[in-house]
Formats: sequence, C-alpha cells, structure tokens
Amino acid sequence: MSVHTFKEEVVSYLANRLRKSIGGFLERNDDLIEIRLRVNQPLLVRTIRGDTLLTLSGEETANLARAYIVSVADLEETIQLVSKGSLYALEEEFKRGFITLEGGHRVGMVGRVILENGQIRTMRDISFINIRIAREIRGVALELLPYVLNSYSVANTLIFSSPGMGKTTMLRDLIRLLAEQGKTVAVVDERYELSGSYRGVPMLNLGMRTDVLSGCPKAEGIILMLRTMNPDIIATDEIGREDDAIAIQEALNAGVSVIATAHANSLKEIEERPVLANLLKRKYFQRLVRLGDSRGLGTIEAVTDGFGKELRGGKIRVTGSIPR
Amino acid sequence: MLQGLFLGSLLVIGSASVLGWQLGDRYRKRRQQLEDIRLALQVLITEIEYGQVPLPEALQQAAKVRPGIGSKVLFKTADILLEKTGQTPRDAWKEALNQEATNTVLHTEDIDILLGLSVSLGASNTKDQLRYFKLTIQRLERMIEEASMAEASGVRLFRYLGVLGGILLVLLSI
Repeated sequence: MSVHTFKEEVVSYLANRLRKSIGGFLERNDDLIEIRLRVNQPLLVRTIRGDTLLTLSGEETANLARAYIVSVADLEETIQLVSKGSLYALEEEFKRGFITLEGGHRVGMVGRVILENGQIRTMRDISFINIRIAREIRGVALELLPYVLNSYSVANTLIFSSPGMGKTTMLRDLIRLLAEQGKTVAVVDERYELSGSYRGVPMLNLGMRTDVLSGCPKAEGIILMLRTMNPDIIATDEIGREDDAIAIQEALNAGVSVIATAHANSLKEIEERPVLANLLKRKYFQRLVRLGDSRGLGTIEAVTDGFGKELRGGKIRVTGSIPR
Repeated sequence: MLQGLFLGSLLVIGSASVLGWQLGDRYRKRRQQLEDIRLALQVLITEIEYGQVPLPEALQQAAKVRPGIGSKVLFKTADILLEKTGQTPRDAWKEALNQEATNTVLHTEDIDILLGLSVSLGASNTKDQLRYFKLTIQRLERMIEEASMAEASGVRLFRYLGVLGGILLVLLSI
C-alpha cells in the first residue's frame, strides 16, 4: 500500500460531509494518524503533530465555532459505508468493537451494548468512531534489527510504549526484516492490526517467510502456530493477559523466539503489571525496547537487556517519521 | 374497389387488435415483473441470511439467478455500491430502482413497496434484515395476486376491445 492510495481508500469510507472535510485536509497533509468521530462533537484528527479540529472544508482550526460538528447521520452513514452496507455480516465485529478495512485500517466503534447472559451480544447506536490509519513504514526497524538478531539466534524481545507511539508499525517492520533474513515468522494477529488482513489476505507486507493467523486470541493462537507452522519466531501484538504468558512460556520451551509488544510508559509500569512483571522476572525477554516521541513518533528511546542493562541509551534517532 | 375496401378494413381491424393485445399484455407483464422481483429478493435474503455475504456480492449473486427486471435492479445497485463514491445502500437502491423502473410497466404502488426496502437494506442485523425482507415480499405477493386477477380479466377485455373497436371503426367509416 502506498501513501498515495491510502487517502482515497480512507475517504471512500466516510459520510458525505466528512469526506469533504477529511478529503480537503488530506490534500494538504500526509501525516494523518487517526480520525475521531464523536456524536455532536467537533470533527477531530490526530497527526504526528498532535490533534486538531477541522472545518467543513478540511482546514485546521482551533476555533470550536468554526469546527464541523459530527452528527448522528454522519456516524450512521459512515458505519454503513464501513460495513459496505452489510451490517448483518459484521455481527462478530460489532461484538468485539472494531472492523478492519481493506488496506488494514482499523475502525474502532462504540455505542450502546446489548447484553445477553452478561456477555456482549452486539452493539447498537454507534456514537463514537476512531479510524486508525495503517501505515507500513519500511525500514523503521532497521536500527533495531542488530539488537534483536545475531548470527545464531533471535532475542526474545518486548517492544513497549504508551498507545499510539508506533509499536505496531515497528513490530511489523521488524517481522518483515527478520523474514528477509531467513527466519520463519508466525504472526498471531488477534486484532488484524499487524497484517491488516482482509479476508485472510495480509494487506501490509510482513515478508516472504511469514505466516499469519488473524482474529485468533493470542494464547490459543501461539499454541496453534507452534503446532502447525514450525516457526523460528512467534510475533504478536499487545500481550498482557495471564494465558498470554503461559503460551509464551510454551513457545520458549519449544525453542521458538518470541517478539511481542505491550502498552507501558516505562519499565516501572511493566513491573507493576503482574503478568508482564512475571515474564520480566523470569528473564524471558532478552531485549526490552522502549519507544517514544522525543524526536518524532516511533523514536527508539532505549534498548535494554533482560537484566536491565542499557545496551544503547538515550535517544537514538528519529526513525519513525512518516514519508512524504 | 371492393377488394381494396376489404383489405383496408382488415388492416384497421388487425391494427386495433394488435393494439388491444399489447394493452392487455401490460397486465401479464406487470405480474411477471413483480414475480421477477420477488424471486430476486428471495434469493438475496438467502444470500444475506445463510451466506452472510457483503451486500454488493450478495446483490450480484442474486441477480444472476434469472434475467429480468429484478436482476437489473440488483445489478445496478451493486454497481453503484462498488463505485465507492460514498453512496449508502439506501441511496444506491433508490437510484437503481428509479432508473430501471422507467423501463417497466410496474405501478407506482409497486415501486413504493420496493422503495420501502431502501431504509433497511443492509442496515441492520440478520434477524432484522429477514423481517424487513419478509414484509416486503408479503406486500409484493399481495400485488402479484392483484395483478393476476387484473390479468385474468384485463387481457381478455383489451383483446376483445381491440377487435371490436377495429370492427366499429370500419363500420363507422363505411
């Protein structure tokens, strides 16, 4: 997917008036990360420069009175377009709260939940939508590769940062690079974000030695991949649950390397989360990579080994700037 | 002279009969077209219910079953949706119907029933889709019944009227 087509792609899923605004904005900007639609609230987009309100013609504004206010009809129309007019085919997606679009963009949506026996049966009256633009930034992980791969093996690696700092983008590129280096990678892509799979076909490049299991809960997926695809590496996004840890242990016992991401601002925060702390304590991870935005999104702020020793400290360099 | 008159009269009676025939045929056509659309909708809801196929594909699949007006409307709707110009199924269905309806003998009330489906097309879960489609199909069936009854009397009436009108014209002109 090139940067030139993602604009048309994304815009075609938006309600008429929103299309005008976002379309106008995209004519002048390339750094869109998220589109936020909230009922009766101003239209908001997030870029690498921060978030901003938009007018109907797509101009950035700080003046609330000039901003375009998103209506119920805008949200309804967007949901219709996002679902290709087939809400009936997306009952599962409504249950889990997001849809992956062709091109790998992810649409999160929340509204009123309908429960059945205490479980989410479906969601109605979607009033909040978040469209995250999937971006493939080739080479973003080149800097990281020497820390992860040596001539013999792949280090078990945990990439962490607060949300929206480019973890997924970094992991995706790392997977691609490792596959290029001859490693067989099994990707467990529970939320379709790594591969952007649309009907089972990855829309984003994960390399030629990569197998993707999408939509599967991570723990089950890791075990399944271990059994079936004979990988050198298992890669997955956003770990943190207890059964994730058990599955990761299983993979390591089988001699397979694990590369994963987690939400956390700092090492201290990881240590406060029981499951992650436990993995750390047992020295399962040999590389801990902290991402930040000190010099642009996706800056590799620090790489430490499993004992907390900094292999390379400080700000390495801006690696995650979005190509223009 | 007499021969010419005879031939002329035959021509007048013949043309009037054809006209009557054609007018009568509109009754048959309306029933056929309604049945066509009913079949298309039945196949479409099956695709939606069991196949859980996205709407554009479901429309195309259902449209392939039998050529006719139903097929044309479904294909047209799918085309509009696949153009990705941001048309919702509601707009696409309305536009397709309005375009295709001009080539039919359907009555306004028939079209209204079909336009009624636009509000819900694709815009709800399977259970609700099923309900809306059933309702539309039921209403179409009432129209088909009405059209069949009109056909039974109307076709014959217009055929007679055509022939008799032709004869009357000849008699009047002598």
